[in-house]
Amino acid sequence: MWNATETPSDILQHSKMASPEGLEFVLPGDVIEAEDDVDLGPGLRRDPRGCVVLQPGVHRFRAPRTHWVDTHCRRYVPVRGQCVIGTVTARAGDFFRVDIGAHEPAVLSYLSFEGATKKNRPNVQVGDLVLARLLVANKDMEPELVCVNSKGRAEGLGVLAAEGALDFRVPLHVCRKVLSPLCGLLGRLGSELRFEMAVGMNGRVWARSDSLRYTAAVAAAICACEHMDEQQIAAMCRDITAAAHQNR
Amino acid sequence: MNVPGVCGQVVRLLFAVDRVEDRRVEQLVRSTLEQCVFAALHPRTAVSVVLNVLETDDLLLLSTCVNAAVLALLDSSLSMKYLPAAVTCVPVGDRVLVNPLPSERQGSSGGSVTAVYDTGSERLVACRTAGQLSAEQLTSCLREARRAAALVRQLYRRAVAAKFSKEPRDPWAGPSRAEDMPPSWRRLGGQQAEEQSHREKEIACCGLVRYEQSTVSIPFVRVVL
Repeated sequence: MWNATETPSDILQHSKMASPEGLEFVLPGDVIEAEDDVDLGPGLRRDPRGCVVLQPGVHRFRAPRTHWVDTHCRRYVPVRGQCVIGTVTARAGDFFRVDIGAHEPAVLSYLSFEGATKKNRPNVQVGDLVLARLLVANKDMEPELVCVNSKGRAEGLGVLAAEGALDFRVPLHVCRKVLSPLCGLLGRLGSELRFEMAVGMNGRVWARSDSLRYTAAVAAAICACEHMDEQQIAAMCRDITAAAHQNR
Repeated sequence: MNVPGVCGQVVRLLFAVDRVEDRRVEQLVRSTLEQCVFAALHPRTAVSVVLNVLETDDLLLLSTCVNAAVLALLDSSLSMKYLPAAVTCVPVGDRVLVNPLPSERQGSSGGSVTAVYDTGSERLVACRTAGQLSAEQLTSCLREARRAAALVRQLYRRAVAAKFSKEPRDPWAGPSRAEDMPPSWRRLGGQQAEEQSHREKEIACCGLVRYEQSTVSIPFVRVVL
């Protein structure tokens, strides 16, 4: 049964060489050799042994010294500075509780809207969708959101209208992919369809177009691009926009 | 100090009444997972793992549950310090059977060893014995389990590779190979990868990792994620 000459380390070597297409799949517990002066992104941690992998995925490297692991995670971990879409679940005094899918409901002060004062309160109801930026996000405190930038301007943040819009969830890596400047999905869709969209880094997307037909087309395109490369995305966008324009 | 966040874990037989054995298995799987999950990154958070046993085998249940739970955690991409792999060994005479089916372990004296190894550093994480074992039988079982744990890690790697099989080689690289026909937009591109990944989960859930072939048979635990 057992091949007496094969040691477990030989078996591990074979499994490492079997990665398809040369993608570097890493598992938790793998140690990546890197110099001392590297920037570690998500999924990696500095250890006495070296850079230890914490999450399974594809190990990526960008020159000069950035390493990270691309994971297919569904659970959002808040990061300061990211834009997220949340649902207002309660009004508690001077702030709103917003559910962003994190470990705790986030807090959004009513003064964190453009033009809001103590006398001029924003029109936010329980159940509204808000696009907000994370001001405080760490594992020990509840997340805090703001709907303004540092100069007091909204710049697209705030309440997202519910009429004629579609609000759906996608895996987190789809959000990152769609928002990447190198991904041509939004550009291709935007050249054919007219729509507005908000993508939250917590896996929620809000899209609105002239009619529900176009809105559904945009939503389908975003959901379908999960496992596609650029060529497939281009073909998919052509098909979707053709189908959406068909029965006007 | 916060209690590590693995709790609420349940092992339940789908077609039978709950047994004391299930609670023992639950306790052992929970303590194994509590060590390997990086709970310090998620304070005041609970990780809930539910394992529904469809066909049971008292001997292989523990190793199956551990492997199935690790596959579930891999799928959820929770931060883990290492990947544990569980193997059951039964000494029969001079030989040691690894993950034996009920038909194969006819001549055994009833002793068995279930060992959980850290697949990265090949260190023993947990060990549970049953029945009568001599010292030599125990050491030989642990040695064989250590070798089999490397193959369980290979299974984990194949499961992860199947899950990421549609990942672009370089992010947002241009058109790659001519034989990659773009699928119609109505058929999600990831379906094939997800089906394959699901099958890998079912295979590994058996806890019967055969290294000469890749398919296994009953009993198996279906992972409910």
